[in-house]
Amino acid sequence: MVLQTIITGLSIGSIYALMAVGYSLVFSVLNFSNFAHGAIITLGAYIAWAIMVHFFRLPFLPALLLSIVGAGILAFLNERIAYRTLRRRRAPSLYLMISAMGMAIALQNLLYATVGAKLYALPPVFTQDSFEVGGATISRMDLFAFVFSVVAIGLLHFLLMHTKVGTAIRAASHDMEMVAVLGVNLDVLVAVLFLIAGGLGGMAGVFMGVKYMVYPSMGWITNKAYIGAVIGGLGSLPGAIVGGILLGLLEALVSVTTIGSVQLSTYRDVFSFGILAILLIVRPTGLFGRFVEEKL
Amino acid sequence: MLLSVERLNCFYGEAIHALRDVSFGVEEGTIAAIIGANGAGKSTLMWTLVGLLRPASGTITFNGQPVRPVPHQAVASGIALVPERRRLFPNLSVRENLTLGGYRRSDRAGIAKDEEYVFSLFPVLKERLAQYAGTLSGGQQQMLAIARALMSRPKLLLLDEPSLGLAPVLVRQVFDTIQEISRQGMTILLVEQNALKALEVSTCAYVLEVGRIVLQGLGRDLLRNPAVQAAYLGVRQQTEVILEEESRAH
Amino acid sequence: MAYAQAIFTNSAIYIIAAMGLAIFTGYTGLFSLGHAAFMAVGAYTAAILTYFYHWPLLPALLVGMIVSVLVSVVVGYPTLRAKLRSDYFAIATLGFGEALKVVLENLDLTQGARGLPGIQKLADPVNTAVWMVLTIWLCRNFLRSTYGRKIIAIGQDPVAAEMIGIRLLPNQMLSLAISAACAGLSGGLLAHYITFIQPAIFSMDLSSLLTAGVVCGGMGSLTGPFVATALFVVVPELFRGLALWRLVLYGVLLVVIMNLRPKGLFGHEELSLSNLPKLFMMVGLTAGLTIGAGFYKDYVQEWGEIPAWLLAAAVTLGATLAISYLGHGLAWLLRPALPRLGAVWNRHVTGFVRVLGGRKTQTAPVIAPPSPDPPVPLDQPLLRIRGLSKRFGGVIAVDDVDLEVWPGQVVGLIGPNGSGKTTLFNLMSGVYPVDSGSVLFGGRELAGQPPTSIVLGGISRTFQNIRLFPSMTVLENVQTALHRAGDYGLLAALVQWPWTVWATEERLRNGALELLDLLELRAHADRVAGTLPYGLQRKLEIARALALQPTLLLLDEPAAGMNPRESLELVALLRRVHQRRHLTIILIEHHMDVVMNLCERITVLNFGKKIAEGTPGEIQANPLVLEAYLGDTVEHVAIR
Repeated sequence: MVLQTIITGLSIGSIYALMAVGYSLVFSVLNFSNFAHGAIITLGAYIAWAIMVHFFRLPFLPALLLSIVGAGILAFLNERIAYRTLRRRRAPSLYLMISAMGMAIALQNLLYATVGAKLYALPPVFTQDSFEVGGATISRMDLFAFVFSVVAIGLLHFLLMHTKVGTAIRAASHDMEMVAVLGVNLDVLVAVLFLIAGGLGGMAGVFMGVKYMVYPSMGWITNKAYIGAVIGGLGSLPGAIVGGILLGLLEALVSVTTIGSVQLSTYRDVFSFGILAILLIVRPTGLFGRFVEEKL
Repeated sequence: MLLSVERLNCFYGEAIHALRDVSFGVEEGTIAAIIGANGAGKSTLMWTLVGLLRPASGTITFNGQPVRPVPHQAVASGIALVPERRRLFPNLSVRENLTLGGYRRSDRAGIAKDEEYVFSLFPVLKERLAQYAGTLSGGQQQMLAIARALMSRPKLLLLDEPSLGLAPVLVRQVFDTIQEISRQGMTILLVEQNALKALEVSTCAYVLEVGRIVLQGLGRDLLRNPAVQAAYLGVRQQTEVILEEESRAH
Repeated sequence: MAYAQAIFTNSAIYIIAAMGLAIFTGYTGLFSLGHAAFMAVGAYTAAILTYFYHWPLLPALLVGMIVSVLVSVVVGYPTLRAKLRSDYFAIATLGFGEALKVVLENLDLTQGARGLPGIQKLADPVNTAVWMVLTIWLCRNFLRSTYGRKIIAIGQDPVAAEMIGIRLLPNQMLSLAISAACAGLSGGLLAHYITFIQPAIFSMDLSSLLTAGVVCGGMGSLTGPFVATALFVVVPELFRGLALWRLVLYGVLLVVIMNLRPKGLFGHEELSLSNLPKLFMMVGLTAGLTIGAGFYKDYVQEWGEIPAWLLAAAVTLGATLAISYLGHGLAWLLRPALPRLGAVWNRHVTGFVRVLGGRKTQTAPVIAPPSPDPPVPLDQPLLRIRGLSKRFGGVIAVDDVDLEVWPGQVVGLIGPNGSGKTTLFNLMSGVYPVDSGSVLFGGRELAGQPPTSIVLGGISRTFQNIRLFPSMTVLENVQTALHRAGDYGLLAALVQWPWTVWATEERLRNGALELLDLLELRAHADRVAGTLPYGLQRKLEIARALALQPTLLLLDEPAAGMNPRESLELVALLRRVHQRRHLTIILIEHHMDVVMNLCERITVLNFGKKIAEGTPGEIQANPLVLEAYLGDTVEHVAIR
């Protein structure tokens, strides 16, 4: 029973972690909350649906890869349209947040207006659905998603630590102006940043779509990712990963708990908010946090 | 003239007229110094030269080309800045800071050669390649900052208050290094509050006061000029008196 | 026409919520992603009370507002404390919205996702209009009171606000409470107008409408969100087919406005003579569209599609133009009359105040007049700093500094760049926590105290890079700093109770003008602070610092960027201020002429350590000081 809960928790937690990493990556460099991240995730899922169901009938893996690329490009365009001018003008992060929110609203409702509100299912990926381990069931898809996510984050780690671009990104999270003075073209750097964040988001969107359904407002699952990022500490990438997984595990735990006759699983969202509120009172910096106070 | 600045006017923020009609030049292969008290506009000048600030009017010509207010392009044309207070990346190692210095370059052999050169100037950096830059001492940080700038193999090296926060013996070391780099052929423009050291090493020097160049001459000559001292600690009228007397004498 | 009435009522309901959000996001600068949740709380509370317990409308609405306010504390307290950045609040509102939705869908009382049908239609165009006008009036009063000014100050510059003694948390929570109350009222009215509510109504879409209305209308104005929200409600009503696209439009508008015109429609302007025509045009457009749509609906059956469209378009155009020209005409008529009317009104207010509030205006005036005896004991140092140290990472910024300042002294603090002067000020005013050492002020230990307590305890400061409240006028900047004297209650503020509020505001105004006189800024009293030239901004900062009636004034490079003539003027000004106000002053400066002429004692720092102390003459002759600045031992040049 415990093992099953852990597995469930890890499976949703790894998706939260993927989303949270994309969000934290942008946050740590550009110092604002990209609330349009959810929309990119949704679009990633829809790209997969378009490729696997609606327009073509491609198998899963190419669809996944195309979604990742597509979401990355969409994130890049998002930056170009909504943030670049504000960034160049050194606008306060409030303006960037509002602009992000605008993009989120526009994109989500664009989907409603064009594709419609119908929920779509992505075709099952693996024929033999799941297997048993120590009394618990693991679905093949969940395992695949988990491993793929680990690999992706591993690649991100490699990029950040061992490539010139990654080093520049890490430097920019501390002092963006100085990075420009050293000759780095900030427009290109930020574009790369969003390509990566978008790609990770698209990946998360596809996994979400396979696990559940594809619908225009699925982007708001990112609320959980934001909460996970806060738990781990805003601005910290390892924090985002740990926070996301931790939140997933805690939610899984709550889901299987029953107090009296009340199934706590329905109140999962209340629980997540409660954790957030308590955490902010007790330890606002989260587990690994850096950015707590308003940067003056 | 490698660098030529004509009637430069810059505003800092919205209301502060930080540089007023500033004109000067730097000959290739020399060390030029701009000294002045705090708030005189020295850092504003540095930022403008490297493209971070857009001037309100005036021209900056480097190597025959105008300098545009785009930081990464200014650097691409061969200007490197060692900023005030170093501005290293404390979350990166010494090696990574150096790598970023040579970001724009792709010639592996050249980069390796420059690394060797930089290690010969600052052997202590070679010993601490994996150490986080934030944990270095003040003097080591200054060395790393200069090394980082050198990694881009610039034609003009800008130094903004290299002596800031350093003990006297370290200041001497830094200025010895500056002279060594100059001997190797580098053109250097440095701004300093530490007037005497700057004047000692420089060929040509300018005194900046509230955004204007009020004195200029050979470094050696300004070193002996009492007006320089008065400008720092004396009462304003005395300086004005000196200049007035000089102009009446002509 | 029933249709026009329906549109009007809907607009009025959403405008009520938008006014609250305008105060929260527009004026206080905090971004809320889920204000619809507060509307939901108000709606459900009021509806449950009338539906199940048969309460009349008014008490039900009031309870709905109260519950909404209480709920806002749950969201606001964890996220606004500890000066957390606004991202945390935004994330919390998102999370709260989801949580609330779950609760509403699962409680028996709220009948879950089905919702509550059959609520009595107790709200109608008339009483909704009354509520709307009332809300606007109360919000306007709030913004003009001390409470409003404090909130606006926080929105403009939280650091500066703290430095004049405004505590962030209670004021931000007040702002949140007011916006939640407005949203709760709006929700309650909505429930009793559309008679059927379910959780799905209070979605992100609704929050987006409100946010778009505030942002596009202009953050920093009530008029703007009023107009924009109305427009956003009316226009989609008329183009029902494009229902989904209107949300896309809101999103796009948010992006466009932020990038191209962050001020929005009205920016920081309220209704005034100059933007009266603009207001009338917007109102005209909205009204025109409403009436035109009404005509369309009435005649489409009889006349067919195209003729009805044409009629509607004609009516719309006609109404818009008519009302716009009305606005222009009104402005033209009022132009000469308004200043005179304003003067007459002011005279009446002042007279009224003097007659009725007579007693109050004669009691303790706002600024203590220069008294012959200084208020602090003369036999001990006012400020005694011992062994103060601060390090940042590996760098020691302030190294074991001792400093004593006696009452009435003017002390200069000089040293080369990076020697720790501003850090010392920041330690004294509580901006940075102290690593070790003590700061005794009038016998009280300051180290460890929050900045607002230190300010309210009598130390006031200015900043190296000026921190004013740029969109307030010069007078308002100073008035805001007088907030301690604006001690009327919140309720009095909301209704602008003449006896307390008018009288106190008059006193504050006079007190502020007095200070402006002292600094020769009176002529600029009504200029917007952000448009002032640099020198005047500096003086305004000093005036504001003085408004706090400090015992000790810390000035951080007041002469920065000034030319010699201005510096001399500053010296004279500071001398005057020092004498009139019985102040003690510590001055950080690089302009040596200012320091040497003004200060009786000078302390010199280098590398965070004190290296010299004495009179100006002693300092000028001190070789250590010369060395610190110029860099090496001076042998060959004599000093005059």
